[in-house]
Amino acid sequence: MQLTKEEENIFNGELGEAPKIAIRLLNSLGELGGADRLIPIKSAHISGVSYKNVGEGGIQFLRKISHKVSVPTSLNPLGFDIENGGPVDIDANFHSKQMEIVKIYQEMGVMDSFTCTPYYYYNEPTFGDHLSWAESSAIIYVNSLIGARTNRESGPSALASAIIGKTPNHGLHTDEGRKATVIVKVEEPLDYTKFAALGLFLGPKLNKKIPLVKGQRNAKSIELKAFSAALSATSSIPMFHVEGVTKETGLVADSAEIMEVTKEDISDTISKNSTQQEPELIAIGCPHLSSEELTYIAGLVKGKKKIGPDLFLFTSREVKANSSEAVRIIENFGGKVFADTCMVVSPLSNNYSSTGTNSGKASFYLPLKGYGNQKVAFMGILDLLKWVIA
Amino acid sequence: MGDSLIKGRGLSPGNATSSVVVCDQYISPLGEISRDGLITSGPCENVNITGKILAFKGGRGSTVGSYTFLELKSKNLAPSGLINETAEQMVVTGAIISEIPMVDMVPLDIFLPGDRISINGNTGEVIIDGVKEKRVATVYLIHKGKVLLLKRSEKCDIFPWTIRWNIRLY
Repeated sequence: MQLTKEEENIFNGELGEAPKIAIRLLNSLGELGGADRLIPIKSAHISGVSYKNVGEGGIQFLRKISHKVSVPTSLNPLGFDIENGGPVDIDANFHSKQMEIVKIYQEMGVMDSFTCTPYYYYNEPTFGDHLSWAESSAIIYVNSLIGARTNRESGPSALASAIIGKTPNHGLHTDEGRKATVIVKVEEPLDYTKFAALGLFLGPKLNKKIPLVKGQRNAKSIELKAFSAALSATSSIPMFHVEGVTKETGLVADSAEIMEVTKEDISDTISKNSTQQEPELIAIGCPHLSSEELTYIAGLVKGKKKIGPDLFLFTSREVKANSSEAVRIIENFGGKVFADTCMVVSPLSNNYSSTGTNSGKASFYLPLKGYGNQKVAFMGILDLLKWVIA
Repeated sequence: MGDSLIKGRGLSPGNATSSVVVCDQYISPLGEISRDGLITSGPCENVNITGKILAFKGGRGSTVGSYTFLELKSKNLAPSGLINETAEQMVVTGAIISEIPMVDMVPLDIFLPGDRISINGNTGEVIIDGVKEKRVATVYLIHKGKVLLLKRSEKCDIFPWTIRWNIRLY
């Protein structure tokens, strides 16, 4: 990889320690990916905010690399709702460590977005933009549905790019790297949860292959958000195409193989990832909910009487602020709407041991021992709400 | 003849020598490696990786996974080295910022459980202690209990190591 004179100076530490660490990391990753040079980016999005995920080692690294970012940079969710508290009890140590992480990012000039769906409000890419984004579900969403271009950056490498304002030119930044290498035929019409199940089913089978999905011409962006999150949680796939829906379906490798997914593959995936027992908590919003989804859920619970498990919904501050009527209806019903956080990155097991969710991504992470420690009921939103509506 | 030397690709600098833990799976370091250094799912569930050289297919899942290695390193619970078949950048980033030597382009099925190995993250070299390499055949075919060995001429160059069939002599 060729660095410019200016970049070489940064590499040699002329702008200080943090930019030096940043450009050296980008250089190594560029070499790994076979990049020819660094290219400018429009924006960055950083994962690695919750203390549950970053840990003490991460805080030390963030202090070392702390430096003003040079492009608009949004930030992932953290371990609790900063303004309103919750969703679960937090001990004093977790609270102070978490706020220390938030402060480091704020001093770097990163937005207080605290969301995994920054593309709804804070950081809206357009077709063809070069980006350096972390957060697996957001990377795959903006590559696939918006046609912006980002590699599957890690939290630290997106941060390095935010500081330098550039990313190595390879992979998803090139047409070649965006080509479908497998064609997946799915006959059954899929809803939100079945799309999530399709993601969980395909992730481990495809590993890193970019799929072109056929047979889902009516897929909505919300459903493909669920697919994005589940597919990228269980693989390192950075992008997908959907025939008749996404914008770059012409990019298909000549050698693309063909596979078919049956109705049974989907239903087996759902039942394999789910218990049928009534959970202590119903958690919806992984990835974070859009205004449209909040309005839909408000319509389902409006005027109803709440029973049974707790009902928690997760979104960003801005979406919550712009959906005040839906939030009021949901809270009148007895549900709670949290911003800044979610069921995966908050320490849910402090208060709960079983969770019901329509999220494929959450139903991958929540059962893991030492991480989520939950028994998970994975099913559609209408089935979940049966537990809480009298 | 010497200790068998495999040439992979160096990704994160430094040397490590330890016994190898071979996990024939993709791993999400977030969630699938616990904060006390255990693998939490798949074929290697409950296996401890502290101080070991962890060989697995590659990374998957959360882009926060890089921080898992930093966290393990800060608690002295990190693996001493990493090997992938094909690496992606989340794990490589974790290795680089945690200063854990890492190599990829190495097939996992050349290792036996408990092999003591050395890796060089600068050059990509992997050495399996005590395993002598003697290149005697280019291909063997097994059919109904019969074995056909094809030996190439001594005048030929040695065969690239990437052929997955390894005959191991002890």
